[in-house]
Amino acid sequence: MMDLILVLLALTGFVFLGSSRLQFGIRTLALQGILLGLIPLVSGSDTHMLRAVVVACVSIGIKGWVFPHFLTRAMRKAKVWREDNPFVGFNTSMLIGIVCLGIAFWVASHLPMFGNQQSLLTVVVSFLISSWGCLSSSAGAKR
Amino acid sequence: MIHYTSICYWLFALITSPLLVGVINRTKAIAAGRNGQPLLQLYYDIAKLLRKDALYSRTTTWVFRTAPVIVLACPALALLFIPWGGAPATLTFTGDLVPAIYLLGTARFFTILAALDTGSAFEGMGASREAFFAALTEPILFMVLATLVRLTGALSFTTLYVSISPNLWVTAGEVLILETVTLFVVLLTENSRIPIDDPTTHLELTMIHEVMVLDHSGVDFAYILYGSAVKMWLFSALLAGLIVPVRTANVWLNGVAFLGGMFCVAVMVGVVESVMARLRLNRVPQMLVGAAAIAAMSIFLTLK
Repeated sequence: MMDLILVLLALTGFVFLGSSRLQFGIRTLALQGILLGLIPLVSGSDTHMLRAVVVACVSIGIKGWVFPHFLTRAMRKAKVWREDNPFVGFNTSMLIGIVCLGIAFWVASHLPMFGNQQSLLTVVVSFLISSWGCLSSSAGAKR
Repeated sequence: MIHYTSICYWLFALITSPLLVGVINRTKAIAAGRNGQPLLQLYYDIAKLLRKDALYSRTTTWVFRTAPVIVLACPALALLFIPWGGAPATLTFTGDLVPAIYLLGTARFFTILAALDTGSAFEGMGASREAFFAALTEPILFMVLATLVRLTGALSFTTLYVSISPNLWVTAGEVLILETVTLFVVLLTENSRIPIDDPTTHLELTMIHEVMVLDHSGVDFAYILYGSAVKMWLFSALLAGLIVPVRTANVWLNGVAFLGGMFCVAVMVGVVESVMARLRLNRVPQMLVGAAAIAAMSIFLTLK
């Protein structure tokens, strides 16, 4: 289950990199927030289940609803609906995303890790989401 | 190694491949609330075309005349490497994945050459688009196969598909789901289906595959239509073998499950064509890069 959520997280990243419509991008980020919120539920132990549920609910609420709501408001105020001429093209963004994926796996496989085999994919997806965030921000900043 | 008992599967595939196109068209007709064309329409079309002579422009050379035969022969030969359910393929050896894919590449190469040979600007445009999309699709297909090779440790289609079992779906389900999605995109692209290309369009500016075969007629066009149907069967068989991993000792059960999988794939293609519009040409590479991303993801997942 954990692997499936992590794979879906990575896929939403690719969808985000390839989307030109801002509203669709915001919805993708909201979905990503919900998936991130589910991680404490599937990775937590039974003894801390209540704490995991609280963390998941707060995380889903903030990343899945509050942030997307503010982003949508900002988009409407700025009257910008889509990225017409992105500094980095959508195909190039996705190709860079694939390169980031390779680097993430390489880095994760060379890091000393504790726990079971699942932690490798966790590191990979964490690295990926951070790098794709940087990629999206830098593309936006240059415009 | 040659499995003589599997020749009947190969013959069955050659005979029934136009029916698969009929199932897709019938699905689209049902979705649109129409009666639609008969299931066997492609058989009628091919039979009608086989009775007609081919016309050749004076600008064309032997390339134009040879291409339709190669376009039919290559997928038919590639089909020899594709296993049927749990049964082995007719022809199998270590590394048969590569020649099978390159046989399809050869067919495409000759289609493009024939299109260029006509000297028509429209056909040249279609050939350019076909070559571009093929250059993006072929690595994706190899990535899909590389992932399956990595998962199963097999280097031929037969051993690879025999190794795909329900257990593999349990242990590496997420990878196989990604593979299924990617292979489906490859199937749509390679067979020029919606949303990549529209097989029913007759507007030259928007056509990709169809525009390349505009100048073919009679027997030659029948070969091309039949070759396309065989190619459709081949890719559907690859997908059906992946999503229906029934590998029992009972060959009849395996065969029925495999045919059920083929039917499901055809219906899925029909549903996609019914619910989706054709993508703008500049969006197609984006979709293919997306498929490459998914394929890369699955290959990396097998390395963890």
